[in-house]
Amino acid sequence: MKEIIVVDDDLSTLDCLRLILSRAGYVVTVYADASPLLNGDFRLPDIFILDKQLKDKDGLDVCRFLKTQESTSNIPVIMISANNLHINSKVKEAGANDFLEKPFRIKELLTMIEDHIQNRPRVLQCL
Amino acid sequence: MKTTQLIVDDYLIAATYRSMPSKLLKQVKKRLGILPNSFLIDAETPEIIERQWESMKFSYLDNPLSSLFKERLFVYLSSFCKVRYCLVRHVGFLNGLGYPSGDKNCLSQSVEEIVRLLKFKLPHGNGMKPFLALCHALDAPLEVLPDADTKMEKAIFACAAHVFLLTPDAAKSKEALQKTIEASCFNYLILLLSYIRITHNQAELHPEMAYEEDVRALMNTNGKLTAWLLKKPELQIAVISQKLPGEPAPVSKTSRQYKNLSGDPDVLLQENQELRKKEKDYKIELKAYKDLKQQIRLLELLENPIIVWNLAGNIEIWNTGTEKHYGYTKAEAIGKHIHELLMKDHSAASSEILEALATKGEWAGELCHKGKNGECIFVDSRQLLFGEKGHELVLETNHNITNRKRTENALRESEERLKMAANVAGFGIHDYLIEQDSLYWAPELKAIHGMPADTQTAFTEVMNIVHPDDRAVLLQKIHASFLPENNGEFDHEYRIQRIDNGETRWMFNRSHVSFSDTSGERKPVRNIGIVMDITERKLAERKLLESEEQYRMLFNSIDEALCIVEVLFNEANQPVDYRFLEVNPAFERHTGLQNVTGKRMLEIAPQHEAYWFDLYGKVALTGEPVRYENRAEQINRFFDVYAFKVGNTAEKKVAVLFTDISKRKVMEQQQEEFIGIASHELKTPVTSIKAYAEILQEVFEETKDTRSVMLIHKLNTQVDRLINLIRTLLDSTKISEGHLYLHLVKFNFDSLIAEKVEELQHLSSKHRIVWQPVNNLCIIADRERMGQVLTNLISNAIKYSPNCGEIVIICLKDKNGITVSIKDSGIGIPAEMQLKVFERFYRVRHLQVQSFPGMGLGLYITAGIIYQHGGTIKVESNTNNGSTFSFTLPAIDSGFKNNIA
Repeated sequence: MKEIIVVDDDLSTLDCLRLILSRAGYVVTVYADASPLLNGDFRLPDIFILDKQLKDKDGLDVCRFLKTQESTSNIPVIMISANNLHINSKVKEAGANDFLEKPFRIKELLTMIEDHIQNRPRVLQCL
Repeated sequence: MKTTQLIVDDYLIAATYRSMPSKLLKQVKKRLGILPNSFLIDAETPEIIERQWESMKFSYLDNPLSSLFKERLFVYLSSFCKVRYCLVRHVGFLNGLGYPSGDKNCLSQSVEEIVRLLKFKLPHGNGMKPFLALCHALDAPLEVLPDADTKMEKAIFACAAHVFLLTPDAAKSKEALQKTIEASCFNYLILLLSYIRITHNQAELHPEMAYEEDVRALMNTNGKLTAWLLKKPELQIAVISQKLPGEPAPVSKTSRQYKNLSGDPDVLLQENQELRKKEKDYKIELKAYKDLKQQIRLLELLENPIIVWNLAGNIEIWNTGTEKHYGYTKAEAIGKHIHELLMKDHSAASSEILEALATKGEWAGELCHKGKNGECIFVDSRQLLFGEKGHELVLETNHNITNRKRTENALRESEERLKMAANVAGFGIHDYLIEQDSLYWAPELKAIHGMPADTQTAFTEVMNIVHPDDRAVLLQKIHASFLPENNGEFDHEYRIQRIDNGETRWMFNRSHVSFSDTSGERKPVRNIGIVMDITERKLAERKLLESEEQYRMLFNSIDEALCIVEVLFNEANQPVDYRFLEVNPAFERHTGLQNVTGKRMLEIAPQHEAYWFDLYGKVALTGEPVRYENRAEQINRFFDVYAFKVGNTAEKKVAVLFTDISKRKVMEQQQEEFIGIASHELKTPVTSIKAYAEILQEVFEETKDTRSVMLIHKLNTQVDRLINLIRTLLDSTKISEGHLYLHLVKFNFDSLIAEKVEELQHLSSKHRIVWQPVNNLCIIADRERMGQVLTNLISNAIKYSPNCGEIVIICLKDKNGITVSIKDSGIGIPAEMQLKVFERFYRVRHLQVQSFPGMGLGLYITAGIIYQHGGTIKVESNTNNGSTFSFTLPAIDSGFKNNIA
């Protein structure tokens, strides 16, 4: 079973994603803030899904942190955001592997996750 | 007494007989106090007497030299005459028998005084030296002749005598005379000498002339005087006795012999009478000739131009004065026709002059001559006919009045000019004699007051024309100018009410008061000046003042900051700086810059960018205004700036109008931020709703609950619609902030159109979308955005053609790119709205169609997407006749590469 960690400060979004991803057969761990990730207090997943706008933290900084850590630098990170302004280049610069704009179709999200887990080549959207 | 009486009676009889005007003799008697015998000698020829009288008056009686001087000179010179008649007669005049020089008021002289005069022996050669020295010692010529019996008089008499007698001392004497007496006196002196010469000649021809009774009585009672009178003249006048060329041959000696041998007393008597007559004729002829020639010799000396010409017009005499005046020498002039040589201006026709000479013997008037150098010479000409019948000559004396004439002409011209200027400029002259209270107004002045030209002007009356409000001040000012302590200058502007139409006009009066200074008291005498109608100037002044005031008020009160700057250019005509000429209070408020007037921008802000100088320089040079928004970084304000040229190009003045738009800018930013945040905040719950709905749909599908599946599908559709609205809002924000990024890919445009047509055709069965694909139409663009464009345009076409059915899509490809047009047959867009349809939040409103839903963002976003691709978009429409939206996309990707994120 593949494991996914989702970080989002919006609880309903978090609930949705947990439901969708569990139904799709993933082991899902959800956090409402990034502190467990920054403290190293988590089990290494197969993929991270990070919201760009966290409560008191920029998701991109979290992404940058993960990419600098030896243990997590090779784990794919998908950024999600309701705002797509100015984001494309920043996402790439922060080292994220993909970006998905809210709201999204379930199918779209699942395809993206599967591609990254299977290590299939993807074109970063909107770049 | 008896003899004289007899002669007079004889003459009177003869005169009556020959219709001689006895009036003339009465005139002579009245003028001289007595009638001299010389007037009775040539009684047979009254013309001679008449001419003699005219010549006497002209040369002697009316000669302006002083009467006593003339008479004493006459006496003195007559002492040299071979015949004693003249001497005796004129001594008589001088002693008070008759009037000296025909002047009743002239005091007579005593016998002793006369004897002293006669005793004066004319010196010669070295003897003249002291007299000549006396003459040359004078600083300036005398203007008044010397008194009787003075050394100076003696000198003049001596010189005059030499000139008169044409002695070897004549030349020196003439020179001395010219030095001694003023030029006009000299001329009159020569004139007198010439007349005395005539009288001497006459006397010499008539040695038989008897002394008048009065002088006989004088001689009888004064033995000493008589001795002097009868003393033979010492001087032989060689020149005069010398034979002149052309002199008539004397009657032959033989013929002069009385033929008393003939025997026949009658024949003898007759012969003798004939002989006597011949002798007399000869004498007359000789006299006339001598008169003429000798007179002419004297005339030659005159400084005044004197010309003698015969009746054929040929010049016979051309004296020194004439040479000087006209520039022609004697050789050039003599023999020439007078009128041809001098080219007389025929203001007086030469025939007229000749007629006057023939009938009256004289003519006087002004003539315009031409000198040798072609210059115009004005002369006051007097022309006298003289000489014997058949030998008549004209003596023309010309007094040069060119300077006077020129002055007159210049004066007349300047008067004319003044008159003309007065008419044109609307001014006139007034002249007020204060004590007499007499006021003169020039016709022009009356005209500008609307007064008839023949109106009599009086000071008190003309004051009534002055506007009542201005009258008191004007009067006060006038009276002040009359005060002796003031300088008499008067300048004042006031209103009048025209007499003819009551119109109020502005007048300007500039006058000068002159004062008399008799007995130490300064009194105003005369006030002379001009009055000018200045109404037009006044009106213009007021208008200017008003507009200036209005401008000033506007300038100071507007909220917009306004400054006027002079752009400064360097030698290469490049704008390098600008100077503040004027700023309004709002300028200081808005910019926080104080006291900048007169300063240069680089003085105030040395780092000011050259960009501004270029911008304002361009405005100053081209006159094209510019408008731009400018953010002032240091004060965090936004300005809407409008710069335009003022004045003429040479002044290089630019007015810069700033409007502080910071508030508007802040609000705009807040609005953008709000839309951004709002749509973001909306998107988060929508994401969850969407996700839950999809999960639900899956759940219902699994449990085969078809009714719930259908409901949840409807829910999904509405959620998608909501998502689209949120996206639209966000897109419009991106476009307005310039943050719309394209995801360019190469794709088949036909298939995109096909997709959209199919998708939208489902929405309405009433409309038919007609479209013909172009084969393999591939373009490079943002596929999703282009889909958005097509969706917007096709759905608009459907929305705004509520009744009818056909929407035509035409897609054309050429070398420049592609053109797509979407044509409907709907309600159309009124012309005034067509430009606005692409504006943000603009919604077409129609009276017939109540409302169309929408946010007014569709076409704004559509146009934004097209522009971002480097394309253009436009609409053609007529109300109720459908609309056609067409857009173009450039063929090659280079056109919009720069805009790719």
